Formats: sequence, structure tokens, C-alpha cells
Amino acid sequence: MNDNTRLALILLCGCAVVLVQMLPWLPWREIRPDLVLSVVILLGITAPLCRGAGLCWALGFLLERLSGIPPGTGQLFYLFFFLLIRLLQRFFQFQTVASAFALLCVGQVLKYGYFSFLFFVVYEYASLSEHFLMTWLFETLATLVVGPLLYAGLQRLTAETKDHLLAQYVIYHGRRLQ
Amino acid sequence: MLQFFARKKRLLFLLFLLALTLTLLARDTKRSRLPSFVDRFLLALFTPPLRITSKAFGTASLLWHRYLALVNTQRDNELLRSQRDTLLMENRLLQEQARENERLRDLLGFKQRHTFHMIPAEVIGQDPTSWFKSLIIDKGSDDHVVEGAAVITPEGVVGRILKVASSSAHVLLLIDVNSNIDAVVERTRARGIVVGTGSSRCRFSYALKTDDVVPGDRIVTSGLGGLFPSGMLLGTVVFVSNDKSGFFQHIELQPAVDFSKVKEVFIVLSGRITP
Repeated sequence: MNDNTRLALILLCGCAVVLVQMLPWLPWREIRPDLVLSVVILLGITAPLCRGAGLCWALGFLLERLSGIPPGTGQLFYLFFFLLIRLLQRFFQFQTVASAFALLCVGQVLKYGYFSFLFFVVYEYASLSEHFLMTWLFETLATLVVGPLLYAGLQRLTAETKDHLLAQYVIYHGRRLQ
Repeated sequence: MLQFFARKKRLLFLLFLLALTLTLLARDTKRSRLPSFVDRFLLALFTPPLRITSKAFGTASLLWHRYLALVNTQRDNELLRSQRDTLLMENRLLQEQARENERLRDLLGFKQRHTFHMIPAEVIGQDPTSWFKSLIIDKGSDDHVVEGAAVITPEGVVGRILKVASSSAHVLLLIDVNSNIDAVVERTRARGIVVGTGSSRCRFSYALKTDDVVPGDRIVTSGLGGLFPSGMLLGTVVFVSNDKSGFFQHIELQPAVDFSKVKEVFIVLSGRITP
């Protein structure tokens, strides 16, 4: 599978994930995981910089146009998180599902800070504090349970093996050393 | 110059994405909206798969409830029959009162009330995030649904139409933080605005400290603005506090509708005056 096909497949999976999050009959109607975060992590680890960033932006855009989220909110977060993963890749290797779990934790913590800033400073939803914390907690728990499974599935589906990832890592760091 | 752009194209692309995102954010703080064709296109794109999955689940659920889970059917039937009899009697009384009301209004020379045309719709999707509260229904502009139209159930108000595609529409729920509905206390006619908090409860804002509001009071739509029929139940007051400084009371209400269980709704189309 070449890079473009793989990226198209990941984008398709991203759309499917958004669709799944919109289904009204799923058990997590109130406690909903952020499944797009797993797709962003996969893109952050495996996709080329520009195309990966573009896809993260597109997924954020899709999510927020189908939701009540103010425009720009989701895109900025996913783009920022994607770039952070790229930055962290300079220091760490992210090859296993456990590392994806760690990234999900980082993502959810960042989301707390980001949404706090947006909700309380930019949009001035001052009365939300208690509910905000509960929503974030439930979302984090659900994301940490479902996210790694989704990541593992996506990784398998897009034929990203450990060896492939390792080869990419070596190429990436080799380039940097040059 | 061209060499510079060629060398820095990745950085420039990222800066472009960032600038685009910040522009969208800045646009929203001024409460402006993206061209609606983008929303319409995306909503239309996602409607068929949502409709199919919703139908599939509906069929499975129907099979289960009609053929497999019939343990309490006999008891439910008896209960429903007795409830139906009571409601029929109540309905006759109310119809009689309504006719009397109309006659009296005629005698007093009052202007006739608005009547509203309603169409049923089915919920086929929900907000993909946990942070905002919205639903997707299977009726759109093909069925004359317009942005801002009220969405209700027999229990009470659900919300209003936010975006419309050809065969589906996005409903902003009453409990969403962006929702504001003009309302009155049914018992005392004290006015205020029901504001969503993003949680399962709403706030009844701008009720003066002198207004008589107690827990258990029903809050209904005022009918001002013409979107919602007047007297539609929004919720019941569950908490009242006068402690805070300022002119207004802190009032919380429990919405009449259980939003996690809404499957069918009615869309209130534009009101017309009865002759």
C-alpha cells in the first residue's frame, strides 16, 4: 500500500469514526469518547507532515461542521496536537499501542486546558465549570478505554507494522542527522 | 524569492492552515457563520448512512420489542387502556373549554391566536462531541423545514433548527450552551429566558428577585418571537436561590424532555393566522 492510498484509507476511517460518534443508539450517548483523537495520533506517527496536518485539519473541520462546536475550535486543537506528536517524535519512539495510550492521555490533558481557555475566556461560558469537568472526565475515561483499541485496529488496517514504523523512524532521524 | 517559497513550503502550508483556523475562530466570536452550503453539503453527505443505520437499529429494536420482549405486554396493555380512558375524558373536557374560550375571545374581540403546522421527524443522529448538545433529524428543506423552526415533543420543547440540508436538519437542543428561549412561569407569568448550560439542567435567567418562583413551578414558552407556540412546557423549577447579589434570582430547571431518549419529534413550521 503506498502512502497516498494509506492516507486516503485513514481519512475514510476518520470519516467513519465521526459517523460512529453521531449514531444515536450507541451506549455511550452521554459518555462519549473522542475517537478522532486516535486517528490524529495515527496520522501524527505515520503520515508526512503537510498531508498529515491537512488531514487533521479536515477531520477537525468535518467534526465541527456536524456538531455545535464553534468553527475553528476542533481544527486548531487537532492541528496543534498533530504538530506536538511530530515534535515529540524527535525524542521518543511511538510504535506500540501503549505509546498511543500515553499520547491519548497527553491529548486529553491538553484538551482540558484548551477547552477551558476557549469556554471560560473566549466564549465566556462562566456557569459551565462543574459540568465542564464532568464532561471532560467521562470523555477521557471513554477515550482511554476505546481509543487504544481503535488505534490498534486502524494500525492493522492501514498495514503499519512495527518494522515499517521502525524503518520510518530510522529514515526520519537519519534525515535529521544529515 | 521563489526558491525561498519552495524551500519553506511545508512551513508556509502549516502557517496557512493555522491562519485559516484562526480566521474561522475570529469569525465565530463575531457570531458570523460559514457559508451554509458547506454545512448543507456535509449534512447531506452524512444523512444516508445515518438514516440506514438508524433504520437498521430501529428494525432490530422493533423485532426485540414486538416478538421477543413480551413479558409485561398484558400488564402494560391494561395500564394503557385505563390511562387512555382517563385521557379521553380529559380531552373531551378540554375541547369543550377550548371552544368556550374561542367563543369568549370572539365576544371580547381579541385577535385570533396563531396556529402552527407541525410535521413529525425521526432522530437519526446526535452531536459527535460531548461538549455540545444537538441532534440530526430526517426532515429538511424538502419538507419546508427552515432554520430557527421550533422542535417539540408531546412532553415539551426539544430545541430549534440550527442548519438545514435537503433531507435532514440539525437541531440545537434546549440544554446546549448556545440555546436561549423566552419563557414565563406558568403560575405567576413571571418572565425570563431559559438558557442551556450544557448539562442536563437549564437556567431560568433574568427573573427578578421580586418575582414569585418556587421549586415545582412549571416554566413554559412565552410565545414571543413567533417561533415557539406559547404554553409549551420547557421544564420544572428544581432550585431557587436569592442569596447572590444583583437584581435577579438564580433559578435552575429540569427540562421536561429526556433528551437521551428522544426518538421522534415534531417540527413547528411557520405560524399562520386562523381566519
